[in-house]
Amino acid sequence: MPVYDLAYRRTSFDRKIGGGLWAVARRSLRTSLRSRWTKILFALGWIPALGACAFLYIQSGALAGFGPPGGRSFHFQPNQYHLLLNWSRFFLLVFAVAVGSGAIAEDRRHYAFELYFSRPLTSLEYVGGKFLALVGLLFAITGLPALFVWLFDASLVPEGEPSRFGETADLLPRLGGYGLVLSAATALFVLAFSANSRSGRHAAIFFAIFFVLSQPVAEMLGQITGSDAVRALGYWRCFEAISREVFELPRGFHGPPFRAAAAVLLAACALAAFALRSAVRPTRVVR
Amino acid sequence: MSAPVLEVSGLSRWYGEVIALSDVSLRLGPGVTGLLGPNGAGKSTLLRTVTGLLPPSLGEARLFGEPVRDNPRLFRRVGFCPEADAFWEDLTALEFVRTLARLHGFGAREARERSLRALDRVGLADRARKRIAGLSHGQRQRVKFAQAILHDPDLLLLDEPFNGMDPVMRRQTMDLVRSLGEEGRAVLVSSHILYEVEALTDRFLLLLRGRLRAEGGIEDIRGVLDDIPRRLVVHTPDPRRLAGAAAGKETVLGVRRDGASRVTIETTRADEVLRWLTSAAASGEVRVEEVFAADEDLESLFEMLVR
Amino acid sequence: MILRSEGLRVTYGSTVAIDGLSLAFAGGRCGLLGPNGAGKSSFLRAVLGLVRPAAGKIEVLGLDTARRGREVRARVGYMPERDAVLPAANAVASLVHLGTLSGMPDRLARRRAHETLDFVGLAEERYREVTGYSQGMRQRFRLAAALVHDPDLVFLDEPTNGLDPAGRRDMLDLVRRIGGLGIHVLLSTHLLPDVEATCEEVLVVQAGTLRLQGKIEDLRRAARRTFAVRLAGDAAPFRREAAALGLEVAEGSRDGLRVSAPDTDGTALIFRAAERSGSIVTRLAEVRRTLEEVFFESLEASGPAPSPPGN
Repeated sequence: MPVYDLAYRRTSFDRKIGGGLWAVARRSLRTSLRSRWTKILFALGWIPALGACAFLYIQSGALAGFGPPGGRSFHFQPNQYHLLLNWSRFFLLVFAVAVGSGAIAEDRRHYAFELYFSRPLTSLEYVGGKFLALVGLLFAITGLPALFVWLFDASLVPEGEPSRFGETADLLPRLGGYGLVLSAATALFVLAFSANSRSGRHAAIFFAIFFVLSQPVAEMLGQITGSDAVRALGYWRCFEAISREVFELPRGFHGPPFRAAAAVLLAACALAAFALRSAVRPTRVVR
Repeated sequence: MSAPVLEVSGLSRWYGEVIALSDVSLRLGPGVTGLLGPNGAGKSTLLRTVTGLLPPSLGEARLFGEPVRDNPRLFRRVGFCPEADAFWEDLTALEFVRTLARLHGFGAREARERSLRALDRVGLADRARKRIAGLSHGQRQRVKFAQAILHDPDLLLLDEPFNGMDPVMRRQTMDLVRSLGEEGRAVLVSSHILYEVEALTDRFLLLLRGRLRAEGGIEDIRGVLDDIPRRLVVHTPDPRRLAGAAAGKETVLGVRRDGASRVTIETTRADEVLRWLTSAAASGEVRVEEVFAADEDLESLFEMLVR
Repeated sequence: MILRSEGLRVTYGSTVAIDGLSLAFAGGRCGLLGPNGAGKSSFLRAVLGLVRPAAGKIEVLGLDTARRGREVRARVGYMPERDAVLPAANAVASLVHLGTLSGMPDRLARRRAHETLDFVGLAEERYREVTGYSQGMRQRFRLAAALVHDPDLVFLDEPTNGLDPAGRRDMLDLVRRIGGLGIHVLLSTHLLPDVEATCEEVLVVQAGTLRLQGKIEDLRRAARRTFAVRLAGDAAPFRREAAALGLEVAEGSRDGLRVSAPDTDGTALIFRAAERSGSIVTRLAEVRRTLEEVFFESLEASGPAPSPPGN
């Protein structure tokens, strides 16, 4: 009867270099989704969308015997989507902080960089993977619910009528595009804070303070300078202006022009990217 | 002074269910003594109780004959160098030590002088004005050391003082500890690095699971553990001959050949075996290159006591 | 050649961390020694391809680290000094992830994760989160992380830091076993006895240059044969008999008298002198230089070094 050697075995295999980005993204996603809070917040994030669908359903009288006789066509206009995404944007902040503030900060706190960057993983792959995972999650509670509502809306037609996909096709890139921009920018900001903080909690606090304060401060500056463009420095107004542009709505009261908002957004993203790059440096590994 | 520098009687300390120290009684006099024990044995708890940072659950500790309880002025004569790395990072080394000197009650000028002297003694004179955040681990250790000696304490408690030091700094610090002991102070060094403790002192205290397992010098302890047979290691070019000759002796319990030239003899009467070995080697009956007791170094003794 | 550097120069801005380091490591187990600020960390970073040399080059396993750093990192294992773990993951999941990042296929990484944990002795705790491990366990985890991708060369940075004597013994044992498997080991530590217990060779670095390289055995061998002899019995009669037999006896230290003897049959003479004087030899050991002495001599040998930065 043979007795097997259970000791450490040398192996030989093809070493695959590169592709670390996907591994990091997968792991980041898995870690986030494990938490119970993430799941709860995720469900909460979909409530408005599901509520909107329910509202549509009821309003269009699809239930026989319920609602006005003969059925009535009720569909969402761009304005409604804008409002839906406004709510998402608010919720996004909470979700992003809960899920993303520890993404890089916790690794740093536990000196995980020593284990990561002594491997064939570049800082670009590392940050890219975290970014991808976070954008995916954030899109899943902004763009995705909105797209789902659109799908529901476009397919909800009284009998005999053709579906509305063709007519409303222009909403698809708007919803998707805006959702993506919103998610990507927020992910970038959260990660920038995370990479420069000592712990997830620190990052969350700094992020929250920064974004909660940005709007009142921007409003005050707008008041003082008398310029509406300055108000784009506030998180809320900035995205509001972009959203209004995307859905072809008029500027709100003292709303900043689209160009100003776009410029602020780009500048903020560039700043965040720079902060990320300088915080994650493989050369700092090894004592 | 007739009272021992440190005296501990029946000291016990527990945290809820977990007992950190159990009925520990010991005395400490001048000179260097090592405090040893595996992780979780209670070394840090003992040090913290002695410095008054932690009240005992039972028993008491006395410094210079007086109880530690509610007696803060005793601590003017005690210096503590803790293991933890906790500083006000933005201060310079000098500022840090001077602040602690002021806290001891020294006036501004004296605090400064003492601080400079202490930093000089630990070899940080040229780095005294650097920020602590910019110092290496070993240098931070020395700053801790400086604050422990600036007030010329009669009792010095050092918890892992050589941690993070390179061999050069290590040697210098060990020389410093030795000279502090020679000056008549009582120095208690707690460390995991046994060969360093061995180089500093013959006396040590061994804690195990919160209890005092052994105290004294290596030879004394070894002598007391009489029922445990001694292992003698002999290096010889002809191990079979030696092993064969030894195996026949009455007091030899076991003979083992490890490797090409090494024989280990287990015996209850080491002196008899050595007597036989001396004459056998003198007459040429066997050839002996080296002989020593396998368990006379601190490492093996530790292993035996801790098992 | 496992590791070779030629005229390596590493700078951070205006600070020179390594200044013309040339060395060759042919394999086996080697200790990397040097005072703080000597450039050891920078050297390790250069070896891992994390910093670009300002001048010179460094080749690991035949690969130029400046140009093929990622491949080098895939074949080399690093055990960090800092208490590094992956947060929110158990030992197995951590190692699988790390193995994958080092280029292993998923299935193989999973198998290797378990094997490596067995090897370092963490088999029982492998499904627990690593953040809940004790210090000794974390150190073993870091060793496992350095081995999971079956590297050909490992760097161990202060592997016994903070371990109690039993833990230290186990760790050094593991290091020896790694060497026995044919994996080359570079051990960077301040504890010279650790190096003596595990390595055959040493490299001493100071102020960014190489001070000494050689096999420990060769370095320790002293020119003449001296023994430390401890006796049960009077020293004076022994000295007389020893002198009569042509041995030189000097005063010794804790481990006994220092006796100088001829190369052949020198020990037999010592025993004879003891027997004739009615004493028993209780301890006899050849006095070889310790690694510590070799180390300190090498630092002074090439003349005083310029004060290293940050030391």
